[in-house]
Amino acid sequence: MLNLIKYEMRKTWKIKAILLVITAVLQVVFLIGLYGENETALGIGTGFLFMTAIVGVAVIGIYSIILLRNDLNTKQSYMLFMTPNNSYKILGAKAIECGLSVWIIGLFFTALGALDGILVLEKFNELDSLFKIIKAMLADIGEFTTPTLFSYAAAMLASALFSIATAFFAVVLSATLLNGKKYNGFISVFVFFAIQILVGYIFNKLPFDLDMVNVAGGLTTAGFYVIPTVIMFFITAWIMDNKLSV
Amino acid sequence: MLESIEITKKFVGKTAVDNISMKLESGHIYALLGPNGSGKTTWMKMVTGLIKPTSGYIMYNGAPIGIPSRREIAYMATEPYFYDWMTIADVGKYYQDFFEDFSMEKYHTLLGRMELDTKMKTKNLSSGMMAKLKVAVTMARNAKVFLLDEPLNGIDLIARDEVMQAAIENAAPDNMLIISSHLVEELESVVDSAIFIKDAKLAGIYNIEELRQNEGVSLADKYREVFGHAVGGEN
Repeated sequence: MLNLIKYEMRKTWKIKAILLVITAVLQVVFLIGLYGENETALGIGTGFLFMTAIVGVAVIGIYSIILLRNDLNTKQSYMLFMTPNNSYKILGAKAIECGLSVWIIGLFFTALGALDGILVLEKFNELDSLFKIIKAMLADIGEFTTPTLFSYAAAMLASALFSIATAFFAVVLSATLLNGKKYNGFISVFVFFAIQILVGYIFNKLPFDLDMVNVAGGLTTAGFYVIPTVIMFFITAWIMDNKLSV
Repeated sequence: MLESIEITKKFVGKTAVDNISMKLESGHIYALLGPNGSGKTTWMKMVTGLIKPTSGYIMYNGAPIGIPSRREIAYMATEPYFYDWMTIADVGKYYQDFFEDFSMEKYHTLLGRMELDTKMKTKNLSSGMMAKLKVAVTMARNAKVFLLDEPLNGIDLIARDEVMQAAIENAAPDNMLIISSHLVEELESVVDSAIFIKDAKLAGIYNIEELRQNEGVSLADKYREVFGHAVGGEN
């Protein structure tokens, strides 16, 4: 399993390196703007860093789906499926690599954003104002503590992983049961959205506190999304083990 | 022992393998022969588990093929299948990571003989170099079943000799080699048995020596006879 994860990471390092280089360039632009007192550079750096953070996390998730598609539909699939590993391990390695990447990159951008925010306010000697603003915000949304932050992050991660697990399922469905059928791609995309909407609908009908900005709500949300994610994972791996021909 | 039991594979609009049953024993080198599209590759891929049969079974040592059999069956596909980012050294490391029977020492010996540099990127290899690399990495395993799908495709005579030499060196009483090829004459001096597949069906399994002694024909003659160009017709 560790070897599988290692090679999944090897497959994705280029896209991560590109993301890191783009972020580094934008960070330099941001710092030049900040300390060179160039408002244009500061604006460009801030805006594009924010955009890179959001797009970057999404790109990592989408890239893992593209990789699975390539691993099922090209001759490189032999590299995976002739090894003595069952589909649960192969898919599990992909899911773990993707989950870890999304989590670490999300954490990285959150930390970078916090650092840049502090630099801005320090530069303008307004750190005290920052803390006042944060306190005022927290007063509005309730107690914002470290556990709250982590439960919120867990909820976001679980929800993202569910989307990725559903996408894995749709890709595998397309390569197996729908392979060679008319409208194969269209049907698998439809199945993806149908599952997402159905699970979202069930989530909204739950009689629990689902406010993610408190510990109970965050953990409940995370716990909820773990269930369909695990179900999707096992169904997908079972289909791969029993129906996949590469 | 490798047993194919009424194995059938149907694709949309085509039956690639049709009800093939046969038993193959260790200690033999088999040629798997048939024209393009006759079902050789599909049958090999079913043995490795890359393709699921529509019906029937492949049994290896009395058990259906699965994860345990992949540890003992080495498959060399006809197409290039290594990841683009890999160097020749990466390919060996990959096999070492996943196959317990892989020998890095043997891999390097074979690479040396085939004059392949470990630093070369697989995506930049010529078809001849790629064929040699595939054979080297496959034959560096101490597998019980070797399946080589068209190992001589697209390579020159010298490279063919090297590839065949590397392949037959691995032949032992406790393993079997199954080599598919269109180049019947090339295989004739190497194999001891031949499996003929025609129109997705098994057309016969022949012992080469028995063919010579009992029927007075070579493997190439038998091939022509089975696949429509009878030797007698040439007279």
